[in-house]
Amino acid sequence: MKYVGRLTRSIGVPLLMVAFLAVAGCARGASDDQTAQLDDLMNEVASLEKQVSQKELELSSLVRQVGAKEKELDQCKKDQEATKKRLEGMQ
Amino acid sequence: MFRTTSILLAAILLIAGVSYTEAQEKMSKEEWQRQISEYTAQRNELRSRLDRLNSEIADLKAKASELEASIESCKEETYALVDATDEEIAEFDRAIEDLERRVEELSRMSDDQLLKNMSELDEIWAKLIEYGKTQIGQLPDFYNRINRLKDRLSALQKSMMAKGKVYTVGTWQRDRDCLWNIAKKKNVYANAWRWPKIWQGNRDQIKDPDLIYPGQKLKIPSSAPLTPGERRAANSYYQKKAALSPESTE
Repeated sequence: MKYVGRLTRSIGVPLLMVAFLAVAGCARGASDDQTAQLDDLMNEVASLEKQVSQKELELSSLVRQVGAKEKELDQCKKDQEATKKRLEGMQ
Repeated sequence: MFRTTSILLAAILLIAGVSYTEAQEKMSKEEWQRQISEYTAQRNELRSRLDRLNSEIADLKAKASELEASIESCKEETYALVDATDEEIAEFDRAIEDLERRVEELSRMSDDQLLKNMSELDEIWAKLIEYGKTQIGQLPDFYNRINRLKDRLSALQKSMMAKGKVYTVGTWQRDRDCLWNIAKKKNVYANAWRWPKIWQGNRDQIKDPDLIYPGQKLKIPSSAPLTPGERRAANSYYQKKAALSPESTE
């Protein structure tokens, strides 16, 4: 009986400790590689957001420019017509 | 034996406690997976948005250069309507620029300075009329600039008129206008004896105070007693008149 108790202590205690360590320290969190992968992804998203916002600004500026050029062309056509009429009036 | 086991157990518990705390601080695998999925979806969405934006920007750039070319061609067609070389157009442009500069200077002048330069307003006006009759003057840019200058000149003249600083001579038959009668008018000096002020203020266009002409624009200097110079001029005029009168010749 005394032998069984000693055996239990000498095997059971280390087993219990190993199991506790495994539960406490391992297999719960993401690995360093995984964390780095997530960081890279987050950085890429941030950089893409910046690019998108720059492109949106460029787009709105181009929309304004095109609008202004359309108006300029309309005005040029009107001016051309008016010039023709004035010149005809001079003859 | 029991003591050794107890110490060992305590040490292991301590290490395990520290490891557990560290594991709690680290992200859980489930959380990592959730964030990876979320950011991947976000990245894909952003990439396709960026592609769409790039394509729209390319389209707009193409449209802008197309419009630019159309504008250039429209301008060239308009310029081709008048029979003028590039040099002639450049020269005309310089002439208009000179007038613009001069009108700008005139409009910054005080009333008194402007009064001294009233004849220049008329000269500029005449040039504008002349330029407005040319073919080059019908080109939109020049046509608009000439009209803007006319508007500014006209506003300057009107403002001087409104301040009573300019008087346009009427006809003798209708208005009985002579320097004496003009000075007597209520909207001029209401004092006929101040006629020499008008004469002296308009020496550039009145050589003989007995001769003024319908349509002449006379500057009306500010109302004040005659200056010594004006008085001298008046006396000299009266003396000449007296010398020429029949009584003195007898």
